[in-house]
Amino acid sequence: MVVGFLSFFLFLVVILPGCVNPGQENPNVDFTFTTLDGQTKQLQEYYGTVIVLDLMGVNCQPCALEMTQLKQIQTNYSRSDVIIISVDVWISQGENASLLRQYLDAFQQQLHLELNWTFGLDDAKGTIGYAYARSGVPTLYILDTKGNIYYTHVGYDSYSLLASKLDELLSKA
Amino acid sequence: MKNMSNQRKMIFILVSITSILGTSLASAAIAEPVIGIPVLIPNNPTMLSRINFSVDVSGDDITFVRINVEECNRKTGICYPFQNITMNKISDITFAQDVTLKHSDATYITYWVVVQYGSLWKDSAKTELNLSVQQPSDHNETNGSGNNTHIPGFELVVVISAVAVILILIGRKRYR
Repeated sequence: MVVGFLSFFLFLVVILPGCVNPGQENPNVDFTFTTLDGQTKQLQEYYGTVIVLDLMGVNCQPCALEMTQLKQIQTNYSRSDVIIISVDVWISQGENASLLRQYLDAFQQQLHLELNWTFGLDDAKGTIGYAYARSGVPTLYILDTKGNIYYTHVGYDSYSLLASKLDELLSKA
Repeated sequence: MKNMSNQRKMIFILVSITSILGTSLASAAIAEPVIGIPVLIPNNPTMLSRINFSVDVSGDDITFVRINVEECNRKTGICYPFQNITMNKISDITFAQDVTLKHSDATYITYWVVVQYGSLWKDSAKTELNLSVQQPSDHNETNGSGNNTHIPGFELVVVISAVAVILILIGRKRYR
């Protein structure tokens, strides 16, 4: 009888946390990516400041809209507080560094917006996309100074929402 | 006289080199292919439907023609990884392929054709198409395998079955 109850209790302990609220974990985000100038970087090299991590695709229309919001973030926040990293996670779909450069040039020439934060590329297997942007792009993460997820959202985010989340996080530091 | 002969030889060599280079460069410069407007059947697709794309592509040295189809949701601002599928040649200049849409929440698609010719690429213009609204059907079911991972489904079934099994075991022990 006691063994039965114990095994049942153990079973609940193992099963229920994933059943009741699977999205409440707050894991640390880290991966390797290639910058536009060909350097291999580890995300943890950027820990120490709040990171706005934008997982995007060149051919994704909402991602382009998101860029304008991120530009406002870059303009209004000190780089010692917040840095932005955009990673193209559609390399496995055929996107590449050349397309990403053309994309940035188009922003510069057509909208006079210089997107001068760190841009990177996923690998050809789509490792980052599979791990962190499986539900589509843009997927945005706000990471605290230790690389823990403070906020995440799939889809377009407005500047006001992002700014409120950043203010919340920065006020806790 | 000897100088004249050498000069002629030099001119001949220069002309030969220039013509050889010119010929090889001309053959290397392949004309850009002309990509027609893709035709969709049906022309007003719904989410999760199967669409037949066909397009006319004319030009030399065409290695392959691909159709890229990206599904997005305008309300949430999400785009899913696009499908890039090689099109089959069905006549001299026509390429076709069926593409099945994968996302039940997609509200529009963007499609474009990519042609590889020689070692170069050419993309057609992108076309955006709103998906027709389908009457709610089987796709609205919510269980553990659905997109909404916050609604417990199969996990609860497992827990309930485990409770039932344990109660039966306890009952049997008591009976003994």
